[in-house]
Amino acid sequence: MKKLISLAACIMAVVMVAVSCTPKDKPDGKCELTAFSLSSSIAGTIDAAAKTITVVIPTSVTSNSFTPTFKVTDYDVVTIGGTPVTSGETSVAIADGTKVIVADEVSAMTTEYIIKVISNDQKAELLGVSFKAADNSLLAEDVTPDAIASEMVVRVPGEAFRQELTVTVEAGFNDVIKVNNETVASGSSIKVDTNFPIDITVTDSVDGATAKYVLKVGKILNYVVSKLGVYAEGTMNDLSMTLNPNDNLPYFAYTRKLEGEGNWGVSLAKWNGSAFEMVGPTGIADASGRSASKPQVAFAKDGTTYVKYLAGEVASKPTVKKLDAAWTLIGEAGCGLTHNANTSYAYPFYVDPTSSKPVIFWCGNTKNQADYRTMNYASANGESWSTVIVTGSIPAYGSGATTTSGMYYTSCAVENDGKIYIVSSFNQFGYYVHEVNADGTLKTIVDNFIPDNAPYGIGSNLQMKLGPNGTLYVLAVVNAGDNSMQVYTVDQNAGTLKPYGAGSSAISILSTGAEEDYGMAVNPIDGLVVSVYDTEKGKGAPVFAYLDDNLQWNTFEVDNPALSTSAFYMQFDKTGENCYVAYMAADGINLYRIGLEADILPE
Amino acid sequence: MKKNRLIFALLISLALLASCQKHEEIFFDTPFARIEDNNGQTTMVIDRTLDNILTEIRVVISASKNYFTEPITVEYETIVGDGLEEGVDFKIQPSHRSPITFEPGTYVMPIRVIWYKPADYDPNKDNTLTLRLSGTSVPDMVLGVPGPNKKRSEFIYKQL
Repeated sequence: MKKLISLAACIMAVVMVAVSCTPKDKPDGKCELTAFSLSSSIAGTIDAAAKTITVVIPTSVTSNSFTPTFKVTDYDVVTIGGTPVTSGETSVAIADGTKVIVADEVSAMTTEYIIKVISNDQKAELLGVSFKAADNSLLAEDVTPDAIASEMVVRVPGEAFRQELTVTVEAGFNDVIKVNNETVASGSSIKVDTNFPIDITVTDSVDGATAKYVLKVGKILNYVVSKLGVYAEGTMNDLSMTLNPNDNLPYFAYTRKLEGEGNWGVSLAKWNGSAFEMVGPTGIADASGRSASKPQVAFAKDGTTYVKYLAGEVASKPTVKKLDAAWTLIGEAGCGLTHNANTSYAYPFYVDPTSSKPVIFWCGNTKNQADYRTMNYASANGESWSTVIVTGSIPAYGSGATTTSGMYYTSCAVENDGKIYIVSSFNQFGYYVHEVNADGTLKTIVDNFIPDNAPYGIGSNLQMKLGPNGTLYVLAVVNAGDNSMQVYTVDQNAGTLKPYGAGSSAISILSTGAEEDYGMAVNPIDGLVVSVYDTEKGKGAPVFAYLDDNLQWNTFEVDNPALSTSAFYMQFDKTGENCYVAYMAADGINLYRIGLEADILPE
Repeated sequence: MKKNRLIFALLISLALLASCQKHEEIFFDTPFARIEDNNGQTTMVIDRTLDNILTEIRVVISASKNYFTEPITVEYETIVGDGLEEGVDFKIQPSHRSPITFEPGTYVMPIRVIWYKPADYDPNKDNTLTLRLSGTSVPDMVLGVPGPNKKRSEFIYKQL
């Protein structure tokens, strides 16, 4: 028994010694951070040699308080900024230079790390690109693209086009810029050959994001005049041009005599974008008994094409036909007029945008009748025409045949937002702008009647066109002795024509008669006003003019334009890219385009 | 009989063991540079009746990380036929003249040439412009597609 007790005691002693000799924690000899992050999206980069932890904090993060997660070697504890920290549990303030101390619990080892904070926008972004006048002697002012985009175009004056220029670039936070593969500091400049596209690459030096841009340098485009072509069908005489809103192309109504014909017939042609082509069968009017004259074309919104002309089937009265498979008479020939109409002018002809009725304005030519020398409206409702005498209140014209009428001269109509406006002149010096009501009556917008022999006024040919923002422009010749041209805008609130470019020099039209032929158009996009006119009726080359940026008249260079035998018809298309100018000359219809010169970009 | 079966089983096992040895993959790792247009062609005809025709071809490098630890430069020589004159008939974008530098991670660089309408075109002269790869900063880099014909080692413009 004693032996057993002694043996047990010995065994216990050995076990106790063995237990007491086993260390509780065995030092690993290391005291290191092996992983560190401020959040799931902000990982730290540990430089074990430099004892730094680099963290990139997005600029969008405004708080400096984080709950770091980290891993350390065995038996190590961590303090950050003096605060003991448990991974994923303790929130601490982090700033550039904050100390992270790792201490070994089973030894005296400690390691100190320094946090390096890099703030970054995490974007590679080009912020600015410009050709500064200070760096480029060929530029009078700085040139920048409208917006920063992956593909950008800037435009420079002609003298700087395709030259070597100095470009200045700016990029975002921590971004490195390369222009044509050459590094350029943000805010700095580099010379580039603008014959070629300029490649700009921006790389975020922190996160490696890259954005690529291409900058092309073009020329500031100028308006130029180019001749599109000449169109002839037999012998030609009268002409008018209207743009079809459905295809945005010009149509030409004209009178012509074919071989063996004694009277003027009517035809319709169009410019299809590259060539002329006839529209519908030739011979719209029945000219077997008498000539037709003053043809005009109008379009309904559904695409229906109407043509109006004077005489032909009925002497001294208008007739309207529409194009189906053939030309179909609207109502009866003569439009149901009970009295003869003035055939000296082509009065307005259009299709009402609301009712789709063809509408004509006409001026009575039978003395002692209520419609004599007045402005009369007629529209066709299906098969019959109805007339409204709309200007019975016009004051008397001193030398007129009656004491109750003035003389209604040529005028023109413009559609603006579904409403029709007409500018018209009376007795050479009186002018009116009316809005045409649905029933054909008129609402007066501008009223300025000037009796016979008034020393000042505006001439018998008034051109009105719709410009940007619904503004109506009127071009007139001021009969103040020098027949100078003046552009006006219609001030609907004041009820007046307001001089446009007041103080600008005007172009003098030298001879009487020429003022009846001039044309005018307004770009619906940029408001450029252009005009074509004869300096002397039937003599001298037509002048193509425009109002420059200072609202002064300037002229285009045009290569030997043919002499005109008609008025000038001109109209910008809806895009503002093409202004068509048509007039009759000895060789037929001459068609020109006023538009921006061809663009040449390095591509 | 039992002995034969044992030998047979041992042989099968050895065969299986042999077939299970790790497959050693062999990678094609020859760096090379080639010159071509964006459609992979190496010739282009320039219409002499047109003016200001901007063309773009490219130099493409193929180099693994082993070779692409620092920028790689590729040189090309410009061989102008006696019917053409640089600056008059064509112009190479200055920033993309030889040598071309590829930063790590960039494998394609453009070369742009603008062509002008010649005032005096002589069809009997050599109206070609050849851009031929001629050197690189990587000693092992092949100029052109690896192979005996060195395809795509030069690009030829011909003005007609």
